[in-house]
Amino acid sequence: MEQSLHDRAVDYLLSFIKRGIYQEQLCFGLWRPSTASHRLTAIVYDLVLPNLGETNLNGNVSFTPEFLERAGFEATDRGSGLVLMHNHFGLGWQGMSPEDVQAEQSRAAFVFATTNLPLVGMTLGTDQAWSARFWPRAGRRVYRRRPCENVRVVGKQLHITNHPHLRPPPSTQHSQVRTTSAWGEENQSILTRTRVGVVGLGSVGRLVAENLARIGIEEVLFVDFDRLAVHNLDRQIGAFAEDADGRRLKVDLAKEGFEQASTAMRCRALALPAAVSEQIGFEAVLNCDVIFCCVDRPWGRHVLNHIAYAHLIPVIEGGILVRLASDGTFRGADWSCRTAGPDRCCLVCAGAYDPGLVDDERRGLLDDPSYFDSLANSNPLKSRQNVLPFSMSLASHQILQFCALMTGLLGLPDLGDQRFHYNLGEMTTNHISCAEDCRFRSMLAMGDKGCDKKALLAAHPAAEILGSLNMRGITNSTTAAGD
Amino acid sequence: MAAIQSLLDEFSSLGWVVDGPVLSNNNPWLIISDYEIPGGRYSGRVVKVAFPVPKDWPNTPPGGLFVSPNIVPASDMGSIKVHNRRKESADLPGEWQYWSRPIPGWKPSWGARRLVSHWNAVMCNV
Repeated sequence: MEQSLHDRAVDYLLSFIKRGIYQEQLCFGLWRPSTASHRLTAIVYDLVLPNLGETNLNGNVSFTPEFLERAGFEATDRGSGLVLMHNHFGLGWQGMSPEDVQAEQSRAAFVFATTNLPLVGMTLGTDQAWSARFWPRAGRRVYRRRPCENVRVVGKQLHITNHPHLRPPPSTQHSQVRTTSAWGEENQSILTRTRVGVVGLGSVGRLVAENLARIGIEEVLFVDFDRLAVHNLDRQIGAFAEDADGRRLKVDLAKEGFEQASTAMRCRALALPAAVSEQIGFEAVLNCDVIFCCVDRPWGRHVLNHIAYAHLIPVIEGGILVRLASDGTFRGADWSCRTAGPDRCCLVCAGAYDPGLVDDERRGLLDDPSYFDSLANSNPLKSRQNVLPFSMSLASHQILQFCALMTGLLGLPDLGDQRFHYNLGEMTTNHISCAEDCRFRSMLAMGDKGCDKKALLAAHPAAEILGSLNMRGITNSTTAAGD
Repeated sequence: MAAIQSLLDEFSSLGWVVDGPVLSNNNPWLIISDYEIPGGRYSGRVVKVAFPVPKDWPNTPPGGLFVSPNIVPASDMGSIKVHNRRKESADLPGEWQYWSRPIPGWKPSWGARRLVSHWNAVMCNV
């Protein structure tokens, strides 16, 4: 859920405890599905608060059938699922009392019949940590609890509460002692359990992957359809001439490198040789909690921008622009990065890509040399020059954006829109906002309803040149990025 | 279909006569029949302009524009940066040249009026 909705829920559910009164409180919420290949996320986007007389307060809290009916019908009218939210007087992930179980299980059939979506139960601790479960239909008149693996509250900072058994805290590794002693065990525990996607495994993406491995991130997904070529070797760490000769998939190299460099006690890296603008890539990255956007073309950025808002998955994006004079001499370089998502500027409004070029990429024009010639020399797509030190700087700043987003270290969860100007030798930081009429903001928390997938996604012409999904080695197990 | 209808409605409200959608290379296209080139080398010529409709219009706009008949001589196509993309336009009536001039800095809040302004600017700059 978005931070602003979380704040509203906290204000309501913890209203008594904030006044020192040990009285539980409850309300309903509405949710929309965000469907990944191996994960269903309930995006909670609104509250339904009780009217006078619709709840009974006696230390515990219960509600009248009329309140359930009113909330259920509101969910139906808005094409949404229903969430039953209440609070406990404990910290962290909350267990359920027999009364809690009975309260939710006995309403699951009504909610499913009314909304055609499973009831979601959520419990709020006094430390504002959420725990949650689905109540899907398991048979005739049978509804079984399925605990969620985490609850994510997305704003300037991404707050994740993890299920203690499904995503247990990591044990401290000796290999991480310098890292942990710098930012503390709690922050290390937050970072390592975040499921991270890296889209684009060029020079920057590969460096991001190396950083994630060393920090101790346990689960990553690499998405890129491209194969290594000789001209990549001056910038691609962990890649060698024989890899280029063999035209190995960049995702396979990243996976191997990640597993070799990982300091995590358990690590799982998945390699998906696809484009994020293909359905298989799109549904795979929706399994992630945070996504690094390391692609250099507009369509991938466009799809990820959509995901950042409709599916509430923060996207950390970066790009490099090298400027050359007409005679080919180096004129300068800039690299920039930012995080897109709720409460932050979208990638279009930040100028990170030009939507005017997306359709050309969809139609395969960006791989047509005559088309490239027709673009203005100032067009960023024409600037393919790069050197490893630029990539290293950008990857480092993208990782710092990630650490800030996840931990809010020093009270700084949002490092802003950062641009390093090589010519000036300095970095400028701006905290920018979307335009008032930004269409991506209107997609906020829409989940699967945020757009027509057929309009957003398609077979990627360049990926198809490199081979069909089968030829790229995609199998069902390849995409198993979820639980 | 929503994107196509939206574009058709926008062009109609601006007073343009639009044909389509016409299917070519598996994409739906719209064709404007009476586009008068407002300036530049081909000023005053009345041509047809066509473009494949992006499925997620207006989040993304059409790329360049296809123009019929072929107003740019073959000898000038390289310098003006106009191409034949016959595979894409195969099922459109007549001969078409592709002016690959994507609209820069597109904002999804812009609409058909901005597209036409862009085409005008492209033609005036030739």
